[in-house]
Amino acid sequence: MRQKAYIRAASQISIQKPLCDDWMREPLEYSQGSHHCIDPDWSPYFTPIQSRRMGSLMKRALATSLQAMRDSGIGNPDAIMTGTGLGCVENTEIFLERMCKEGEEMLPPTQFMQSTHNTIGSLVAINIHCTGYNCTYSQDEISFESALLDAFLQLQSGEIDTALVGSHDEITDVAHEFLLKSGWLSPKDIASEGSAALMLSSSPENALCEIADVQIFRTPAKGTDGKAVRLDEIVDGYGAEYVMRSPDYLNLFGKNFSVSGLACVAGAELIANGKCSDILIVNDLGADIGLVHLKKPCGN
Amino acid sequence: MEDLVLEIKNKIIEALNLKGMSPDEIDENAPLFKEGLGLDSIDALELMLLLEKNYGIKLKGPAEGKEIFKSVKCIADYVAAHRTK
Repeated sequence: MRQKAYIRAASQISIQKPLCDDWMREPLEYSQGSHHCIDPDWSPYFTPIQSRRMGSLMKRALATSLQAMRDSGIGNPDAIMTGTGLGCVENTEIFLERMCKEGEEMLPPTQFMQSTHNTIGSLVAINIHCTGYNCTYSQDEISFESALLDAFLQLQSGEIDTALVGSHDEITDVAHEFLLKSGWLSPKDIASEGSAALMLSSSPENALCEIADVQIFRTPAKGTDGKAVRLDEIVDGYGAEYVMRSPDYLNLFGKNFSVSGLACVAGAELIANGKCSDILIVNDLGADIGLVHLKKPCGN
Repeated sequence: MEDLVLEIKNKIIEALNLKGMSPDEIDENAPLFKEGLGLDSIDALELMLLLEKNYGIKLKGPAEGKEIFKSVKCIADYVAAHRTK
C-alpha cells in the first residue's frame, strides 16, 4: 500500500515579509526591476562565526530549513532534496571576478568550494547532521518540482518517512543583466530571489496539507490515446477548487527559478488557514510544466 | 608591533568574513583554532593566503602554519620577522 505525503511545515524568505504568512493579509507590492529578499534577523539560527563562509543564499536556505524543522518538530529528516535553478551565483561571481583580476594563483578557497549548486543541500545536511539521502536538482524553472517529485515518490514507496525539500535561488546585478539579455526576464518583470523549505512526512499528524500529486511534463502532453492534450485540459482534469497560476504568484514573490517553491509554501499556508481545501499550483514559466496538487488532509 | 597586531586583526576579519566583529573582540593572545575564534582547516588555508598576499610569506603547508597560527600575536611576530613586503 502506498504511503501518503504531507507537508508538516513550510517556511519562506522572499520579497514578502520573511518566515511568516503576513503575505496573506498585507502583501507587499513591487514594480519592475530587480528586488532582493527581506532578510530576517539571523541570530536565532546561527552566529556570525558560524555563518562566516555562507553567502546570502546559504543563510536563507539554512534559516528556512531550520525554521521548517522547528515548526514540524522533526529533528532530523530521512532525506534532503534541494531544487535550485542557478545555485550560488554570488560566490561564483566573486570567484570568477577574482580569477580574472588576480589570475589563477592565490585564489581564496571558500568561494571556490561554495560556488557549486549542491553547496546548499550539503550545508543544510552538515548543520543538522543529516547523513541520509541528499540530492540537488538544477532543472531551470522546474528545479523545485523535480526535488519535490523525488521526495513524493520516496515517501509514497515507503523508502523514507520524512524529507526536507528546499527551493533556493538568488539574484545579483550580473545575473539580472544576463537574464534580461537572454530574454528569460523582460524589463517589465519583477525579478527576485527567494528560499522555500518544506518539511514532508508520511504521517498526517499536525500537517498543513496533503500532497495529492506532483507532475512534470513537456507541453503539448500526450493523452492515453496519443493525441496532444492542452495544458488547460490537464488543469481542468484535476477539478481543483483553486488554481494558482504563474501570474498569481509572480505578482507576490517576483520571478525567479525557485518561485514555484514559494508558491507551494503559500498554497500550504492557504489550506492550513482554511482559505480553501484544494489548490493546484501550475508552473508554466518554461517549456517544462510543473503541477503540484495540494489538499486539506482527511480528518482535519 | 601594536599597529601590526591591529592590521592583522582587521585583515583576518576581512579574509574570514567575520561580519559584525571588531578588532577589540579578538584577544591577540587567545587561540584562533578550536577555542577562541573556533577556526578550522579551511580558515587555515585563508590565513595562508592572507600571509602570502599581504606580506609575501609563503608557507610550505598547513603543518607549518600550526605554530604560526596559534594566536594573532604569534602571526604578528612571524610576519615581523619574515615579511618580504
